[in-house]
Amino acid sequence: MKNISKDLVAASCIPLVLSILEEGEDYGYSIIKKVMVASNNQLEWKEGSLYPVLSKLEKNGYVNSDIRTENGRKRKYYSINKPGKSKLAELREEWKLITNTMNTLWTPKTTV
Amino acid sequence: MDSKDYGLVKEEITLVISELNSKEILSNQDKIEIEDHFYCDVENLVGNGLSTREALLVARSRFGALDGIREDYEVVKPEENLLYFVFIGVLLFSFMKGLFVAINMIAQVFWIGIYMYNSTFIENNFWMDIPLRFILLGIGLLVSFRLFKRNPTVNFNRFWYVPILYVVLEVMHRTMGFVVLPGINPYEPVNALRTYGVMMQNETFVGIVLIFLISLVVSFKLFRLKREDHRYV
Repeated sequence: MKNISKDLVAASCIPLVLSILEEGEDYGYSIIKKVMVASNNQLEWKEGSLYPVLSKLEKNGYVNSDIRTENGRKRKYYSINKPGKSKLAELREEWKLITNTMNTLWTPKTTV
Repeated sequence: MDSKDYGLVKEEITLVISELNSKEILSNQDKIEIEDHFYCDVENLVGNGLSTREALLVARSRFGALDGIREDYEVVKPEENLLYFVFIGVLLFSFMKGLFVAINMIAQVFWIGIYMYNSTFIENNFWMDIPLRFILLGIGLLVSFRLFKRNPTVNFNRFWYVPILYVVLEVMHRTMGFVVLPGINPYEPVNALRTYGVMMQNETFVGIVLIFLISLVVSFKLFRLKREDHRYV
């Protein structure tokens, strides 16, 4: 596992969560596990930090939630809505720009 | 896990939640979510061969420092803080008072127009002025209602400029009331300016106190309702 700075984790948290929810509704613990799988267990997240983020996304109107009972246990499911999808598209463009710029700068230049 | 193990997990969850909720910031849904997280993680770890106690230790460590998570919740849910209620009260007060001031100003401009073009029309002004104010108030409230309906989870911090806008409007309104209107209106008695000024001061002071108190009560009730609504969804 790589210890990534808190700022970078915070910045990437929202696009990661929205991207997972774009594939279908999900609950907190499952979202954390999907992030781990997607990063090949490289991304170290303090798991509890996800919940205030989900709360923020819900408050800002990017996701909807509902409580369901499964095997006698209550669980909160989140689903992305239309403003959430627009936000994700916006974030995707921003991240693409950043990664493209980084790739350009960090790719070794070949001299002809 | 047997019932004894569930008891252990439940005990740890209660401890974590009570630490996180020391400022009464968690809703019932947040508690459900955290409880579900711990049960899932412990079950997962026990399934991988750990004892319940070991699983709890790992789950607790993975969850992260509770102080930091509590602070994150405080940032996300500022409405749980008393100061935020005061802020909402000031916002509502400024918005309502600002709307009335704007309407008054438009009505004053309307009056100036009447004075300038038809000074014999004064008796009819009163009857024209009232519907005009009602129409403007209606439009203002309708526009605000539509804006709030479009975005029900509005973040009130975005409206920090409303009190400033209100103060600017109030200054403009008073300037109109004290300087512009008496100068234009030839029928205004000489001492009317002083009477009008005192009347405005009293009216404004009582209005400010009353509307501020009403706004505070409304915002308290609004957020209490919101919390209860979350509790039973």
